[in-house]
Amino acid sequence: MSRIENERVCAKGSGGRAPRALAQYRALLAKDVRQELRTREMLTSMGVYALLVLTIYGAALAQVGDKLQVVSFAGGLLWALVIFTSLLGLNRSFGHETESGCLEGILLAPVDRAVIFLAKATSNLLFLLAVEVVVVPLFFLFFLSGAELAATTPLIAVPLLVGTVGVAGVGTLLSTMTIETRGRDVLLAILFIPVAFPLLYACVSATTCAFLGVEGTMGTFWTSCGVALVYDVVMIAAAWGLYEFVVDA
Amino acid sequence: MVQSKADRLVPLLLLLGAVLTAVDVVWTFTLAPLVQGAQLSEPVVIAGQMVTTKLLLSQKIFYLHVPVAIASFVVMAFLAYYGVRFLMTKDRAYDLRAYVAAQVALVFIVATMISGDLWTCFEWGVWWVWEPRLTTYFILMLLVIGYFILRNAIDDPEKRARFCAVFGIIAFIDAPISFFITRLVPSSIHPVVFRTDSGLPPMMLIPFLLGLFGMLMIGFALYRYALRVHGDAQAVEELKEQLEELDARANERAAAAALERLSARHAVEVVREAACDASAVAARADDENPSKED
Amino acid sequence: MDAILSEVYSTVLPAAPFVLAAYVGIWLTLFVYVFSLWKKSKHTSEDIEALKRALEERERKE
Repeated sequence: MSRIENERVCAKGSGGRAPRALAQYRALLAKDVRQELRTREMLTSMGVYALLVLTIYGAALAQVGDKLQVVSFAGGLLWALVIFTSLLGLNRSFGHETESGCLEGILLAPVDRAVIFLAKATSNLLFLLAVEVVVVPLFFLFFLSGAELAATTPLIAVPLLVGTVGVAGVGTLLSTMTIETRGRDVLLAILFIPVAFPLLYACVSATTCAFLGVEGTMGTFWTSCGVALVYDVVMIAAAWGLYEFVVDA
Repeated sequence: MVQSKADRLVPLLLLLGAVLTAVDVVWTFTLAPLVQGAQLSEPVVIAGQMVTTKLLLSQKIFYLHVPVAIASFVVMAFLAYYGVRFLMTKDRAYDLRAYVAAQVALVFIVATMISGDLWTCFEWGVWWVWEPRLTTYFILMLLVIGYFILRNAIDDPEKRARFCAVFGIIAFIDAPISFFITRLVPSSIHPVVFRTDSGLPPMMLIPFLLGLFGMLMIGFALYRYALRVHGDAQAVEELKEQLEELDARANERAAAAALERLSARHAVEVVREAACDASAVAARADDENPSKED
Repeated sequence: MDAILSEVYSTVLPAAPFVLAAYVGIWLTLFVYVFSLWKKSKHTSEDIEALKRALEERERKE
């Protein structure tokens, strides 16, 4: 903790507003990453949870045999996995902040609320991406190892990245709100799933296009990615602007 | 309990809205022509007009379904607007307005869902399709329901107002998506109403517009009425709390006074006892003293 | 009715219950909401009466 304080003091000393905000952002982000690397609380729980969702998929698809083309709905399965896993992670990400009273400490410091939002969203994004890097290959291993993959399959990285950015952005805002309410885990799901739905819809469409790789569907792929990107921009801008009202105690 | 100018307009607007929608309904079933459906095997002449297709009655749902849906979007916009106003001014009155707007929005959304779903069931042969318009509208309903759940989950009124305002603004983002999705997604099979190219014939457009304005008036009247009911209820709740607080304070004061009296009496007793003791000691001293003096 | 006319109106009669139900459904939803508001307002006026009585009681006591 003392190192962070030092960094913040240095940041204050370094003059200008923009560089100071950048230094604060870096300090907050480094705090989150360091804390996570020390405890590995969020990453392990998310990883194990994702593995459990994959197991449930296994049970759900166990009786259909080999005739079913999993590729045709793999996009949907993959995104259901991403959404459920990120719900768990978003709930955890503010858990230790409030438990240790860390959030109050940050709010007392003269840090711009938008910087706090960006730092928190970035750390959430990093953790979600870290989990996806492990889980998506596992998904391929479990469900698509026998299937013939289209040449365009690697393109699923585009909707995954765009979608995860949106999930982290809007999820950070909503989880900050729900963390201090009764029944916060359920409430986050109730608020997050409808809000993230347009993004989910676009990302599933793009991912399915990439998985199938049918001639002439690449237009739909890029349109869907574009829609997801527009959603990201609108939602993150809204969340950024509204964040100060959410943490303003 | 404050009667503003808008409140006096409410009965008038309600009446006008009812008349307009009634005219819409009557016009719909009498003057508006039936929409043409599938091609007939051979043309036929009815009442001097050549008819080549089947006639559809189910389209009549449109004349009230679409006005209600548009009214729900308008009320959603008010929900977001009052959220913004609250965040700007921190005036609790705007929180109440946003809450009432969310209620009216939910009512209109449910009405739209019921009428639209009946049309879906008849025309498409299924009760539900995950079609873009239906899906986004369904999501809109879930968002408004989520708004109420969020409201119930927070006890602190100030924080509740802030969080609900933020969520109302976020939730409203889905409304324009739902409105424009039939134009954005080419695969959507939901009919598009507002277009510049084709448009409706006047005999169908007029009742639709009557219904639209009637519904907007009814929506406004409902909103004002609900605002008054909830405002009164809130004021009464506050008065009750104040009274209870006063009672508690009065009780506290009475208890304190009683305690004081008690301790005063006790003190008197203590003093009296002490005095007794002192006199006893003095008497004993008096008893002992003479022997000492001797 | 001859065959072609019954084909023209083939979907009209089956659709009638749905159309009716849709119109009734919309108005019913609105009326249910108004009814719930009316009940709430009645509850509020009862509360006001109770408050008035409570105040009078206190005044009499003092």
